Amino acid sequence: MAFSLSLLGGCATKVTRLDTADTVDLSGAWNDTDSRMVSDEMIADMLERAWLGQYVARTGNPPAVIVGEIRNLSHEHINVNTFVGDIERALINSGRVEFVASKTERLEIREERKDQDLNAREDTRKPMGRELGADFMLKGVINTIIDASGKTQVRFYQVDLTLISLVDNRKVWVGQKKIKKLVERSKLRS
Amino acid sequence: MMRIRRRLPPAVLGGAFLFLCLAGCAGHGASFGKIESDLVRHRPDLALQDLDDRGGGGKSEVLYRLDRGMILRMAGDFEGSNFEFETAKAEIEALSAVSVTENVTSLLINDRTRAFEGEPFEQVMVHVFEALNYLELGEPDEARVEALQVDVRLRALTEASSDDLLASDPFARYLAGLIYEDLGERSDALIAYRLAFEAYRAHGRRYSIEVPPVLVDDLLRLTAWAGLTEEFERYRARFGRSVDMPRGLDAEEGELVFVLLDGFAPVKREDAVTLPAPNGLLVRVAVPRYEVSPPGVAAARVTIAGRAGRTQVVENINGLALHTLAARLPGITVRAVARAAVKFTAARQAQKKNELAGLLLNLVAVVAERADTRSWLTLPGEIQLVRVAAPPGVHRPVLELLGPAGGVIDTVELPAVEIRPGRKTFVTYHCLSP
Repeated sequence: MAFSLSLLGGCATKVTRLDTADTVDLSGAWNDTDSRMVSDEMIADMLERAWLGQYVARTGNPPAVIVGEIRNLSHEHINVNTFVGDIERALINSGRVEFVASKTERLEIREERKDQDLNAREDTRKPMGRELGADFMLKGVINTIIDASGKTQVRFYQVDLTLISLVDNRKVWVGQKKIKKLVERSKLRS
Repeated sequence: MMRIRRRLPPAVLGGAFLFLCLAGCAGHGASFGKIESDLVRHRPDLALQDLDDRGGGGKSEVLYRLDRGMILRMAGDFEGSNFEFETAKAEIEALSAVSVTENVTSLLINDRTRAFEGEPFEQVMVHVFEALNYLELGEPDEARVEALQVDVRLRALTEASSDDLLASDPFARYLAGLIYEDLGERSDALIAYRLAFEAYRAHGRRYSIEVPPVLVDDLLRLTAWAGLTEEFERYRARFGRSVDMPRGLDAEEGELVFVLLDGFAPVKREDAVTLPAPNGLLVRVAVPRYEVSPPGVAAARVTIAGRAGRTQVVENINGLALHTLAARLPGITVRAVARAAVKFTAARQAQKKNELAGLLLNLVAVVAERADTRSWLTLPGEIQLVRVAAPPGVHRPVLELLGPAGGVIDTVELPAVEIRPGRKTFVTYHCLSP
């Protein structure tokens, strides 16, 4: 009976908790490791460049950045939101830029403010028209090139991010990160 | 224990023979009838239940997902439909590896023990319908991802098969062209339209499909835009007409792209032959054959903001399916004959030791000889398309379903759509009953 129970034990679903920093590549598709790797490296690069120092020297304040559209022009349905989340986290945690809510987030906040205008107590009401206007917009594109033969595939991802000044449309920073993966699928299955 | 040496009476053999002939009637197509009638009565919720009752999973997991995805789409749940299609895609990917056990088992029993992967055109259609879902959800970038995946899939199919027709799909290319053009990527759109044009011509030589006039207009327009005068003149001379430039390019008007999904894809039936063999044994060979379902309607006319357009055939899935099966039939037949030989030899060996055991083994083996009649039945039999320009704003298009003589069978008011300047708005409609 112990033997049969131990056999049955092999049938249950097995769950192993991983550290979020662990790299587990299962299918070769864009995963959380790619998203984190790209956002950390690119934001680190962005914050090292001259534009930041020049802006602070000119105005005396840290710049306000808003994340605009990150277009997915790749072969996969990549969840761009997690990527944007990683970028935002990297930017805010650096402490060197200020961050404002994106277009979609603002809608809900403005609704709340409008509601406060009607319903909240006078001294706690947050007036409209006091938002911090962004100074720079971060836009991006994810591209892929796929080369396949038989069961082997080489996937090349290129993520391009651009920081554009909202004053005069100047591109103050352009970053690029490439990832290349070799995916070999097995020729046999059970 | 006494060994039974006498032969079985002819009556028993005759009865077995009759039983086998009748046993050939049921198949995958027969169990689909209930689902089909649910869909014809516009009850996709019941169809989903019947689909679950019929069961899926195991070797027919991909088929279950494909049918479920299509029925959800008919019910208007585009996101749910996409989830099913994505699951099917991942499963097809996993099945592309060779399974030794499946190959061996199918040689001993029948082809239904193999996991269902879908015919090449069915695999391409998953991307087409997922793209249509995203377009109707208003997510053209995601539809563009599907267009790129179609390209990867077709390249992989070109590598895998010798028949160039199995590795091309005219409507998939044309839809990719529409997606690129909607996003303003005209060079990519022109390439896709050219590939579609070549595919229509190649397919048109093997079954009934013509280059749709709307594609000719697109080619003329884009070659004129790109400054490719030689190519422009070639199309103009070949098709005897021209288009005004730059209609629809930087226009203030938008466009309604209406896709009519007509009828159901053909059903696979079984063609079987049972022959007497030496020593009182039987040999049976069963192969699949397509039976084309009647179409829903002959054509449709869409009217929006006072302008009307009549649909044109852009994909003949009936013809494509028949051609695909015809190309694959030699392989299927060879396998079936090999299987019959293996079964006969096994029964003969058993018969030498024990007459009755041999006959029973033969009977079991012959009854198990069934053709693989699985196919994606909720696919439409035909796809038709029309593009109508309309001024920006919210409109309620009116759909008229037309019979063979051009008379109006039915009029349907479609839900309101928003037309944006310079952009396309995609609307699809499943027409199921004749």
